[in-house]
Amino acid sequence: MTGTQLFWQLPWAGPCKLEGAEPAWAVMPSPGMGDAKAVCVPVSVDGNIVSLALSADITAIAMAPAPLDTWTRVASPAGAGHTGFLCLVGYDQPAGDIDCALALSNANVEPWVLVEAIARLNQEPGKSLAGKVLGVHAAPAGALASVPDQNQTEHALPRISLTLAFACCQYPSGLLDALPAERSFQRLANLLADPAARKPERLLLLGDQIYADATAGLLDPVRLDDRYRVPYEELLHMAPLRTIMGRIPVLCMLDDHEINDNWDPYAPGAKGPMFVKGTAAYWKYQRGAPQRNRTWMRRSGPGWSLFMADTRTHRTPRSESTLLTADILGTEQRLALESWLQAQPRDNLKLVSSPAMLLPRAWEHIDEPLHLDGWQGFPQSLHGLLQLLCDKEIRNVVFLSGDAHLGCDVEIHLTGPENKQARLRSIHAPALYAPLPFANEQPWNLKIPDTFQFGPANGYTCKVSGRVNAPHRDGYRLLEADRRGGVWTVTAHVH
Amino acid sequence: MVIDGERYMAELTLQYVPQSLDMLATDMDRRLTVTGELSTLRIYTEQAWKLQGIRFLDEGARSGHALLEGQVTGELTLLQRESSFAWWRQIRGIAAYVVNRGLRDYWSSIPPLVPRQGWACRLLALASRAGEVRRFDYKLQVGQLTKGQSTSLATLIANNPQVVGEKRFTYSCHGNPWRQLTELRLTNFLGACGRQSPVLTLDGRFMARQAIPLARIVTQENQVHALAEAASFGLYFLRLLVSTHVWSFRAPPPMPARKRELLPGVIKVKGLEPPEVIEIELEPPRHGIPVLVRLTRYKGKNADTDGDTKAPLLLIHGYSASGSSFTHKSIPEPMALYFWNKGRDVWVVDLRTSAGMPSAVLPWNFEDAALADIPVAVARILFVTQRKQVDVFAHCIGAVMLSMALLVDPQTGSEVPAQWAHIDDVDPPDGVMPRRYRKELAVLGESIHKIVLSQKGPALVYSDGNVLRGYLMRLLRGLILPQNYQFRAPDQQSRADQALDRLLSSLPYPDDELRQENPTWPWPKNRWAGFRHRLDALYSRAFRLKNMKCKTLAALEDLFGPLNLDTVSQAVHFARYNKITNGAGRNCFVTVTRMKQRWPTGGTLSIHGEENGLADVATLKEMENLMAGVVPDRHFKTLSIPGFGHQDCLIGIGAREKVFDPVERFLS
Repeated sequence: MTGTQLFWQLPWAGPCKLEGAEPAWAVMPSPGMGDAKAVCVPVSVDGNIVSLALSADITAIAMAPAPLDTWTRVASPAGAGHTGFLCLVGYDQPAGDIDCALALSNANVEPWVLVEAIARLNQEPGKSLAGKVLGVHAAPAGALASVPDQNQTEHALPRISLTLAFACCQYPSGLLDALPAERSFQRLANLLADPAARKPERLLLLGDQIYADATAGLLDPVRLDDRYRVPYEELLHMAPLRTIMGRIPVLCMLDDHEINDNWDPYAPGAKGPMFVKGTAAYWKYQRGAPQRNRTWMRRSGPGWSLFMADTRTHRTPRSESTLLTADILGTEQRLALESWLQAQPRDNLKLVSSPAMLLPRAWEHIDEPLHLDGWQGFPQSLHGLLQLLCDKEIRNVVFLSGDAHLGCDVEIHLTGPENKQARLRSIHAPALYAPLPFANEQPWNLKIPDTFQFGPANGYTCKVSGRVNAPHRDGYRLLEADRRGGVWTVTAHVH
Repeated sequence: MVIDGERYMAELTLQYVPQSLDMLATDMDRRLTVTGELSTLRIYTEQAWKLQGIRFLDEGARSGHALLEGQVTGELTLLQRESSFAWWRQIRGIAAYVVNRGLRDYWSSIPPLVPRQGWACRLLALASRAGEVRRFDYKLQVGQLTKGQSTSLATLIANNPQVVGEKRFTYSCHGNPWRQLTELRLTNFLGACGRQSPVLTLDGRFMARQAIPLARIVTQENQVHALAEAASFGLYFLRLLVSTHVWSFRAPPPMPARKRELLPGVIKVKGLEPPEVIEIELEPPRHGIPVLVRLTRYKGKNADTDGDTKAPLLLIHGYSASGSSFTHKSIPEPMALYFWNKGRDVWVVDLRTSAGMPSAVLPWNFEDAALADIPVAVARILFVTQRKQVDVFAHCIGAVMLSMALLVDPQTGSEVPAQWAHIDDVDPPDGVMPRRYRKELAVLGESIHKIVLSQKGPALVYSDGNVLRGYLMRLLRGLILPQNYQFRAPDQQSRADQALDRLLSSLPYPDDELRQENPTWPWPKNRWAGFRHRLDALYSRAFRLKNMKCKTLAALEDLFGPLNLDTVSQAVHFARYNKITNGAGRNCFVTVTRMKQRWPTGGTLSIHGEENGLADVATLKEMENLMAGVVPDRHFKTLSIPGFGHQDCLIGIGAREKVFDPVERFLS
């Protein structure tokens, strides 16, 4: 693209805020415009006018090659007096009458080029460039830093606050229902724009962000690769989600509908075309990284740790004969989770997310686990994990999950031999959009309260108490955790 | 519209206050309130509208070009029944029936001259329904002007702030239900009224761009209830539609069976010998169907002499058509014959996607043919003729494929360019990766001298109707069209096929075409109508009817033929992006740099029918934008052809003078 002119536009998908201290985003060029180059620059906003606010000593800004169908990371050079950042994509396409085309000598762009590009984009009527500026309202970098609590002695643990949003299950909108379909994301976007609100630092999407099989084949794309491309294009163009992604990092795990409804491996290592395409699309669009075998993620901050487990793609095949040994996490991930749980500092808040709900159990098929898709359908995995938590008396554990399309929040009290015990929470998010009532879990089907024995000689007892939240309501959950005096207080309201 | 001798275009955007659906379905007084910041009236000068291509711009950009813009409030009363007496409705209905189809119905039912018992009662009952009028009444008020306050139009609006319009839904002489629903006649607008009042037409491109239908759900208990209520209202509306327009859904006359001649053959002209036919197998058969490219050579008069200075001419057909578009005897003067007469060595190619080839019914991506059939065909022509270059005339998807072939990086070494990764990242529709011919692709650019791109090219703009069609097809193809859809109705029609053909008989053609297709007098034969409807269900309007000879229309089956819906669905991506893309909708072909590197510099002519219903004539502007800076000005020309549509540029009356002559001048 050297020596040519670029056609400047805002990114087709993204920008998505990336994790890390320095301001960086991921952008994707338009499929119809071809390979591009991307740049992110500091800007200031005066009314509706956006202008470049670059540090005076910068004479050239590196542009990142932004190939088709790929998330490209763009970081901003140093700014001066900036109030936010603007991501731009330059296409190797002819300019139309109203767009700017600027000379580009090499992969570095001189500031005046961007000054002119922004000035031209400012002039495009009807497009609020100021509304596309990032970072003005975003949670400040380092928001996870601890704040000393004045009421505590110096030996006491510092006060820590953590806010996360978590959600799942965004059934796609049809021809008529785009507005209700976007409403949950819109509420979160509104929250992020509210200067007085306590804002989440990350959004965890726990699975079923797309439905590759939304209409069970009736109106789904005929071609298989379209099934794993078109839903992502629609998701990434959902306006409120774009706003959210520009402001806070979004971590995504996959579940069955990223592949196919209730996908289960039919044999060890089974990888049919739907699995191959579904997981490839997940890595391409949701993770923005080269595909790897390990899908689970670990994150940590001051006083807290997060393990995002994948209860879908690593599960082992199940049958009558293998039910008691089947593993919902797969051996490698299970060992990783177990060692992670034991390795975390005792006072840390340990968040474990998984698409499938850990507890409560469901009444339906309670004696036929083979018919159940979540943790309850893998008794060995469920009991093994609970046993570990009890034996090691691991504290401050909160399980986050989605998938059932019904919010609930339960306390779990585990007791075992030698008077071992542990308390944990399992918080389940409602669906972001689940408009089909027959596909939603029903409150009566959740066994709350519940007590059951498990483990060797039924030596462990699990007591579950809590309640269903906001039945028949879509939304996301806002987890607010505060540690004061070494004690964590966790709330997770449905919004 | 014309005001004080100046021509203007008006654009009305209406946003309604949400209304409960069951109220609309059951209330006798169905009323929607117009309000909101999106409800605007904009007026442009006609010159700006055309020159700036305003209808292709998004909302914000349009506003910048408006001469005047103002907020609009008011109300729409919909589906109100116009008061009338039964006898008057019956007279109106019967009169329209007689003009539209009654005589033809009667003629075609001979010999059973004796009518069945009770026919008169049934006729009167139907006529009473058909003659009723359902009205959509718009009573609007232009409020505060946000732009153009100091113009003379503003004074006009200040004096006449009321905008009154109506849609009349009724069975009328050559009335079309869809046009009645999508065209709003303004009966009071800036003082204009009466028969000369302006008509606003629904902007399908706006609908597709906004990705919202006319109605959308604002709140719902759940989707099952919402869809049930929407279906309830839809069925109510359908009942009105069918009961009023039942006579509009006339089953097309059956097309007589004939032996199809979809492949180029002998052109009976003195001095022109039977053509040479070369078939090249491109890859192993699929499902037992051979995958071939076929070349038909009409050998030039001087082809074997050293004095032949003209390069061989390769003619590439479009999709769901074949080489017969250039050679068929029913065409007033086939293009192949025209250029042969001009002393050219003419080669007509039938690609694997040609309607004349058995492989047409297989699912392909367009790049499969582009990256094999075209380079192989060109290489074979050069080998046979021992020439260094050919001229190419490529029509429609043929032009798209040629552009793809020219714009790929044919690097044959071990390093695979990223472009090929995108090309090969598309699932082959039936699971087998097609063979690519990189060696032939590597020399394709230097093998081509002059290029004529007909109706499409590396940049293209689909018509409003097709943009909306593409949007709907992306969402609803499985419901709208059967997978085995073909233009010729099956001999044993199922009820679904019959219903489809009746529905398609109401396609919204212009007035003159509606009259031509539905003549009052019974003897004109229009047995091609059903075939055309099925063709236009996909392509919006494949040709201007007035440019077609009866003989050509009778032979439509030889000019358009078998297709595969998976293949043609790739064009949905073209409609979305105004660029050619691979089967996955990724533009891995067209960039300015690639055009500069690879597009032949011998000269390119882009031609377009101004009344093309498939691809908009704005394609020429897009091509100019793309080519500016790619090739010197003198090497790129455009030709806009007034009065012509899409395929009639090749097969229509007057194509010789309007199309072939200028093309010949360019090539020469």
